[in-house]
Amino acid sequence: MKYFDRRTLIKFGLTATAGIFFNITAKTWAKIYLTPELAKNIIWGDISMSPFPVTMTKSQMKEIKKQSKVRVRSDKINAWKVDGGGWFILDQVIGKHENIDIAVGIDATGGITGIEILEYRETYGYEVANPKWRKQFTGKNASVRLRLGKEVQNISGATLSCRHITDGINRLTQTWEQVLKNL
Amino acid sequence: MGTSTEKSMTNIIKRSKPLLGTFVEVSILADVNDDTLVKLSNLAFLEIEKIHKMMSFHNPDSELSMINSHAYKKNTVLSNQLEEVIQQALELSHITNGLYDITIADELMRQGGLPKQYPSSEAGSWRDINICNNHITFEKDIKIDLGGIAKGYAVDRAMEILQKQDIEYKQISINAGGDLRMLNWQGKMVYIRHPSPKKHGQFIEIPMKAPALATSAPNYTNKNSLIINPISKEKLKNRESISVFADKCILADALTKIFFLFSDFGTIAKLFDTSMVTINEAGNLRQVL
Repeated sequence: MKYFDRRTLIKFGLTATAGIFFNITAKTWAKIYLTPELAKNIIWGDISMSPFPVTMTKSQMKEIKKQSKVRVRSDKINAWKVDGGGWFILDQVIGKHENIDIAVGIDATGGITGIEILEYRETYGYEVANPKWRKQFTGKNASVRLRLGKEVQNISGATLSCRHITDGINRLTQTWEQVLKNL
Repeated sequence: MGTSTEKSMTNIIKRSKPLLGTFVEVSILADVNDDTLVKLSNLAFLEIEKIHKMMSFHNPDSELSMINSHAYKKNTVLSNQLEEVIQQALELSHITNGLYDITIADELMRQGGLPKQYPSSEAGSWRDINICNNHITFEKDIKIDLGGIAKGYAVDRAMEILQKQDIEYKQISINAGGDLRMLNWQGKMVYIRHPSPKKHGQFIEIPMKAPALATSAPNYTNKNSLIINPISKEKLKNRESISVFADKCILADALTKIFFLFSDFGTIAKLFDTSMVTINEAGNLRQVL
């Protein structure tokens, strides 16, 4: 592929300022969005809910995997039962390069009412993360992070795949079908 | 955590939702309470979803699909939003002499980049599209794909909707998988993904230079997401990423694709008051214009 170097520019007779090099600060990345509390509020508003943790049996997990074609990593469902029969679930989606904490609302008929990303962590190269970069998050719980009052860095780059989220939602839909529906 | 409610406190919300096949991120900073921030961010997400539904090539019920099915030799009604996007695309086709061309859908269907969902389709060009008084007609049985421009437009619309609200924002940032638009962008830094797959998870920091920024790199994307040269019909194999700063995301988004193909980017860059940054596989960053 042709590289737009200085020669190319001269060749095309352009008045361009090319070849200005920046210092590179490559770094790994973690992004924190919502607290679970705010996610509850966004998905279910004022409707009250109470914690309803669930431990699944081996056969339930097997059936969810069979139906959703997605691996079930944990036997725990971090769930809240919502007045009126809906659910609020905190879950983690593990992809090839990233861990994503999500909050999902499921209504009394098994329909998805909302999906929010809570935290997104790039795991690849995580160990070499710039300490200064991580510092803005350490020693603060999620609710404080949300109120730091300064914007966290913006990323422009590749279109990240949502495939793992889609898989995770399919798994949770089946989790409702196989387990939560009957509780 | 402080509980003082007497003074109005600067408050921030950052949300990310899976939309448009990517992660759409909305951050708002303003002196309002959580509920207001949630409502504002909802407005932005809803607008992005609305534009997506309107302009999706894959969804047979979208307005774009209706046009692709009916506009051949027939005058077909066009919404303001779709007209705005197609007009922008046609302007770019005109300026680049066809290097940017939304009628590439036919070729994308042939090469497997888009699903074959029409009984017939023929190769044509942007010159086969006529728009007049909110109506569109195709001279040939062409299909159009707005994949390279609609995401940027959706981000612009979401920003517009937020700015119409009677709120004094300190900061707004909307990012749809690398199509980024910011209010009060001056002095802000942005992070561009390293183009080499070996450096996954690494980012390169550069200062924001305009309200909008978009980045494209064919080598990050899978085989279902292609950039094709409309004239040679060849797939691009670039190892560099190209980032474009512009006033609007629709333009930045489209220009990243154009700059992969078009040598005379100086003319275009001047015309639209844009600038470009490239990052090669080694992570070397160059600012061009």
